[in-house]
Amino acid sequence: MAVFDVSRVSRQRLFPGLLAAVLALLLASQTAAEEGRVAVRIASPAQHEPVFGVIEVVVEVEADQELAEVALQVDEQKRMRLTEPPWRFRVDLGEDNREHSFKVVARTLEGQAGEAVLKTAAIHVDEELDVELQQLYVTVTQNDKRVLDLQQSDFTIRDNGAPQQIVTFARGDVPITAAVLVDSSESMKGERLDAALRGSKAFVDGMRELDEAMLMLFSDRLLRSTPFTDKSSELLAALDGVMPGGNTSVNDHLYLALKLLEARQGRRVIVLFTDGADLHSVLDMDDVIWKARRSQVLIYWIVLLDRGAANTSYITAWRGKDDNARQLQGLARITEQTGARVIGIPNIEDTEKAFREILAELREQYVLGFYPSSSLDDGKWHEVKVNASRSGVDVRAREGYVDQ
Amino acid sequence: MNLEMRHLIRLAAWTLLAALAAAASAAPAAEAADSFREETTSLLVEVPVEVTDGGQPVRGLTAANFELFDNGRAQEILAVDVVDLARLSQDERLELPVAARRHFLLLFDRSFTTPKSFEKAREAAYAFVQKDLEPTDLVAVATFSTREGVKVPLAFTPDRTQVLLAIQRLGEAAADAAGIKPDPLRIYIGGDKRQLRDPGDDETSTRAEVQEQAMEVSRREQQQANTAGRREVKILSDSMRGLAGLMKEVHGRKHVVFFSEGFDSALLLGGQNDEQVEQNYQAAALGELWKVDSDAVFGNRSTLSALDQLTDALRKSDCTLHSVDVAGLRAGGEIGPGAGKRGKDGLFLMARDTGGELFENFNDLGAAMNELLERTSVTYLLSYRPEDLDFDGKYRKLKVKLKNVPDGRIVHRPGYFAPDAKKSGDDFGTLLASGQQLFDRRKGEVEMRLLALPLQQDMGAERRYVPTFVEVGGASFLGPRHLGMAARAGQQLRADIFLYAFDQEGSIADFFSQAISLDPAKLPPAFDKHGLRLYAPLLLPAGEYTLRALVRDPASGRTGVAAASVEVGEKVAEGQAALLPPMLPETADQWLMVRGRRKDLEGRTEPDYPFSFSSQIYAPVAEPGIAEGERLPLLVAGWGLQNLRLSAVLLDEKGAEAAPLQLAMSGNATVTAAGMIQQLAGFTVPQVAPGGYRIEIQGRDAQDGVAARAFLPIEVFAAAPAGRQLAFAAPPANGGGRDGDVGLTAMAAGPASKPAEDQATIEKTVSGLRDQYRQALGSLRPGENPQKALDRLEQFELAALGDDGESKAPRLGRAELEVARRLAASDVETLLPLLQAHQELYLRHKTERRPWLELHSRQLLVDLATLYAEGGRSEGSKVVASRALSSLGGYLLADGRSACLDLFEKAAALDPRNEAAYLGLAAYHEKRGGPYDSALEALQRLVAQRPESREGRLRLAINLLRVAKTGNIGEKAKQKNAAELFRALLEAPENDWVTSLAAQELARFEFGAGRRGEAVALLEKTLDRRPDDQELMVQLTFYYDRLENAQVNRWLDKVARSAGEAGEAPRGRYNQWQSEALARDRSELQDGARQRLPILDRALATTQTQEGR
Repeated sequence: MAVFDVSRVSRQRLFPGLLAAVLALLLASQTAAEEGRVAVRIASPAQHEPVFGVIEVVVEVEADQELAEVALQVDEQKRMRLTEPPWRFRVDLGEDNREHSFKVVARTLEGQAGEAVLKTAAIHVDEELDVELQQLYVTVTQNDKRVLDLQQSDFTIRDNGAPQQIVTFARGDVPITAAVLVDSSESMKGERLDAALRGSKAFVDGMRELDEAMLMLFSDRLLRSTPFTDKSSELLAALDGVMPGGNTSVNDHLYLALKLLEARQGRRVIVLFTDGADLHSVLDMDDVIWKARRSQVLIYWIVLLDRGAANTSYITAWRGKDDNARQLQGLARITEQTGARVIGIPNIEDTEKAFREILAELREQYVLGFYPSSSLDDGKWHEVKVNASRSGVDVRAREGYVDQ
Repeated sequence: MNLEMRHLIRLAAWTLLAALAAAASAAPAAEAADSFREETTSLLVEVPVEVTDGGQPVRGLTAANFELFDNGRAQEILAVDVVDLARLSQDERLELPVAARRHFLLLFDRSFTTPKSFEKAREAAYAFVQKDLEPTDLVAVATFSTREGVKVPLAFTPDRTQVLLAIQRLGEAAADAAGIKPDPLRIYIGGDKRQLRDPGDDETSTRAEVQEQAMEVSRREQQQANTAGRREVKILSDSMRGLAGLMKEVHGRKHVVFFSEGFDSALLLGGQNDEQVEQNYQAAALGELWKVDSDAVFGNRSTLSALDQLTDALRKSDCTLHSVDVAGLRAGGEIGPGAGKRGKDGLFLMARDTGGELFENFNDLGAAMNELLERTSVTYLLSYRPEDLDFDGKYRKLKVKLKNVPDGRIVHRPGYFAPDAKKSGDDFGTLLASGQQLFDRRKGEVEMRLLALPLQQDMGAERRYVPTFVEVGGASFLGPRHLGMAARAGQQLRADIFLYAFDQEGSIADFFSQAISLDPAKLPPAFDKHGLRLYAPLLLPAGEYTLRALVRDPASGRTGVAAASVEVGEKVAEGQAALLPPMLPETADQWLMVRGRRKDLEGRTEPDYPFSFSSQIYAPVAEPGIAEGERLPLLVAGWGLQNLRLSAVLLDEKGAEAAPLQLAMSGNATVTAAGMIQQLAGFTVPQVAPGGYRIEIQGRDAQDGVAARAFLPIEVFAAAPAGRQLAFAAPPANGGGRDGDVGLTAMAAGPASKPAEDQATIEKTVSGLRDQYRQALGSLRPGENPQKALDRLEQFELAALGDDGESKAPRLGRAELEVARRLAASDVETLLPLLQAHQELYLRHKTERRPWLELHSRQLLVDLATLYAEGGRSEGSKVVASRALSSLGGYLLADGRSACLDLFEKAAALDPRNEAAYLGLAAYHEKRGGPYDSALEALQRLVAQRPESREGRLRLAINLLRVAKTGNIGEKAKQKNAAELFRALLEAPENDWVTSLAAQELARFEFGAGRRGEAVALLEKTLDRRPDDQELMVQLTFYYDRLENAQVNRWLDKVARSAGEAGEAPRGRYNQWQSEALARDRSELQDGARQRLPILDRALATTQTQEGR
């Protein structure tokens, strides 16, 4: 039996030298064991192909007898073994730009073995740049309805005005990691807190497999906090028997949530529910903005407007009216900059709907990835614009990032 | 915007401008600063702007054409007043606000100008004033000399005679020829138009020649020593900055017209002649660098910098400097010492940098000024209200942009100085601004009335003796100050009164001023309901006059302005007669009467006080109030009526006869030594509808038939108004717009304009209330349920007011206070349960939103506390009274009511160690977002009195850092002081919320200052003591995050795990102003009251028995 497709090679007969070289290369790399009756070939990655990150190593094996296992070594380290097909290995090579060696050994139940080896190359660079993939979660609407049928080619991304190549594109249900922050201050006592907890429950109930979340109930102190978990029962348990008290310190707890999400992977979201604004956090809204701009977290802010809290200028012993207005405006601004939004609910009955709406919006976002073409790691703000070619649609996405 | 709205806004504008002026002249004393702080939150600023296109004024612009920015922040323009001089009617001109008027300061340079040029400048200025100014323009005159700096002999005035006299007298010794004392406001320098002389006459020219020769010698000496010139420029610069400092107090744009020959430009620009260049070159070539005059080569940097400062100061004070090269005014090419390009350069620089111009070789100053007048003849007055204005005296930048006026050029002041709460009221700049108010629509906060009665006495120079009564309303003069407290604190009040008589041409015919020091302890009890009456004699020739009077308290900055007309007739000749308006008897102990003395009448026979009859003083007053059916004596005085027969009639407002008046003569007419005839007559006010009327008195000589008439406007009430006829109107019901408070004074005095009940009915009502109150108090017994007793008292008060709180609350207050006084007379300790009970009642009324009862309770609590403090046998009673006041203040503060300030001040005056009072004062300002200076001041007082107060020291340190942020001088010292306070708090053994905040704030300060390691170490150390302090943990996490330190995860984890374990948040505690001290005081008050219930019980029984007898 053939271990490779001769007919494909025969098409190269006009170039006999090249054909001979290719044949030699294949023969060398595949180490076909015609006589041992165990033939192994590494179909992917290709020889000398630069690889990094999580890759799939695809192996083809031909043997007369039943196979006991196929084992993979990467860089001379045993990594995985499979006992049944398909012979596909998913391995994380890390992000370093370097050569890797792959060795696959296949054994039959009778103890016969065959192997294949392959080397991948490093990318040649004059100066190495560590460019972070920037991911954008994009909500597209038309007449307040989300548009769900756009393709990668429909989007353009500009980074500080320069067009960027979209390297990843996904649509729909990308798993989320959420921190749900519920204001449990004295002013929330009664039906307001009840509604907030019902909303949180609706959010937790709406979580899907691979989603995970944590809950933070706060006032001017952290009243209750759960770890990140995908178990809704753990989250729902945290909502029981909450005793509201104290004033509201939004900044401190928003910062904490941002910091906690920093260590998580994937699409990260904060859902903040308050009936008012910050009264006396130890941190300023500028501190929160500093953190938010360095993360890729979406911040949704659900604010109860039944007492006009978010629109009222107020003075505390810590801050004057202007300074407090700056805190409020900063919070509203940063939610928009992250690509999320402020959801003002005039009636307390709309609380659950608002939580569900956020979940629905997250499920229907486009996820675009790009490597910034002009990254300098200089800590400067990059303005990002995402446009869709379809006319009449509104595109909402993170407005930028800090290059670091 | 409709007319009514515009009117309202304008009205508000001037009220608030008055507040601005008041604030600008406030004294450093705490008592003074308090008196106006209510107004600080809603100041209205007016910005005059001029818009030209091709040198021509642009008309027809509206608010939509302007964008206004105050310190970079866009402002809503509330109103645009257009002042178009060419289109104003005469009446409109009279109503023109001073901020929109043009102000010219004619500044004559006596050091860089030869005497001949000086004379030319004087002539030009003289002609300019006579021919080229608008009647609405205000002019001031000043001189500069290197010996004396800037002198302002005449402040801004519309009086052209005074301006011309001032120009004429430049260089002369200060005028004291008339023997009058100098006018502190400097709008009157004495003299009249008869003393004006042509500036170009022979005497003037001769004097100039002599001065020229003398100056020439000096000039040559100066030329030999260049340093002299440099020094002079420095003096000029410093003097002009001083002038700018004065001008910043004056509203409106000031055009400073500087008459000078200028100074050597080499002093500014490094210019030098060829010989100097050669000398310097050779010196440098030979290595003799010490011989090179670096100033000559590079310009004198210090001088140049000083000039920059000069122009900057002038700009900030809204002064535009126009330089007039007076060498150009001289005929025949005569050249002075600074003439030519070198002199002009300096003048040009000064003018250019302030937006003005240099008029060079310009013999016709008038033409140049006409151009200026035309350009500035349309002024738009933009009004807005900055929300973040503090009374810190700081400069605030202004920017006004034009919209949709493509080729328009806008001129406006680049900024303004916020009022300075700490500025001395005796500052000359403040006096200048006060004088300006005389010509403004602003009337100030202090109510005033004027009444003049020309007598027949001839005082020489055809001048008649005109007694003028200047009445100053006591309540409005005092403002929020409390007489009793001021007396206890040994504070003095001061009223400076200025009175001017302007003739029909607008020239001052006479002037009188009096500074009156008032000892609060000696003022009449009803001073706040009546006030001060100054008897000010004026000496005026026959004619019609407008009297204008200004009162100002330099300590509080409160001012008031009044105007009235008076006609001084010719002396009554043989066969003629005259009558004064009839007078009513003065009620004793109501007014504080002050008799003013004139310096120029010293040693001369001054008429005796002409308004007394049989030892009774009769007061000439404007619009007295009289009750219908009331019987009153009336003093009629006149001349030429030896055989006097009197008749009278009551006229309504339209002049029609409302009712005849029956006059009953009391004895015969008498003649005073000065020849005045006096007749006392009784009359009864007929039954007419309440309202305004005039009594017309006609006197007729029974023998020769000559007659005279006089009128007395009166207000007729259904019953005698409280406080009789002389009381000023009560303050507005909204307390002047303070937090919606209803004015307590208004309640206490009763509504003057409302028909009152019969006095006997009132007394009966009060008596009944006293009995009911006493009965209700009977339930405050030991062992009784206190809530039931309070229920009963509450029901009593509710029933007492019914649905007419406005009129019945004063009676209730009177009744309850009378009972309290009687109980206190028995045993002052009975007041303590009353204080506690009424505090509880106050809270009930407040909760149930009963405004009249709430106000009543507040007033009663203050009265009870004062009574207790005064009647107590020890200092301890003052302490308890002080706590009661600060406790009440605390409730008001919780509601954000400014009335708490007065209570806290009173509490602090009674007990200077009352911690809650100072904390309350500071908390009020912190809760309002400033001014933090005021919070700082209260906290400094607290820490001085009670250094052990941890909360006081913490708040002091936090406010020191806040105030230091504003960038004033002393910023570093404040920061250092704050850091030391924080450290001391951290070193103390206590471990509480104060510890946490001291660490947080000190760490923030250190982190901000770049000492990041110290900041995190400090937080770590404090967390060792306070391991559950989440605020500290969050702050530390954030700092480690900023520092990219791996410790961040450790602390993040700790915060997350500390959920549910933290107690009260320290920052939340700081935001809760209710101090432990206040809670402690309230608790002690409650205990004290409970312990004294038996005393009250006994006293009630005793006083009941006594009254029963």
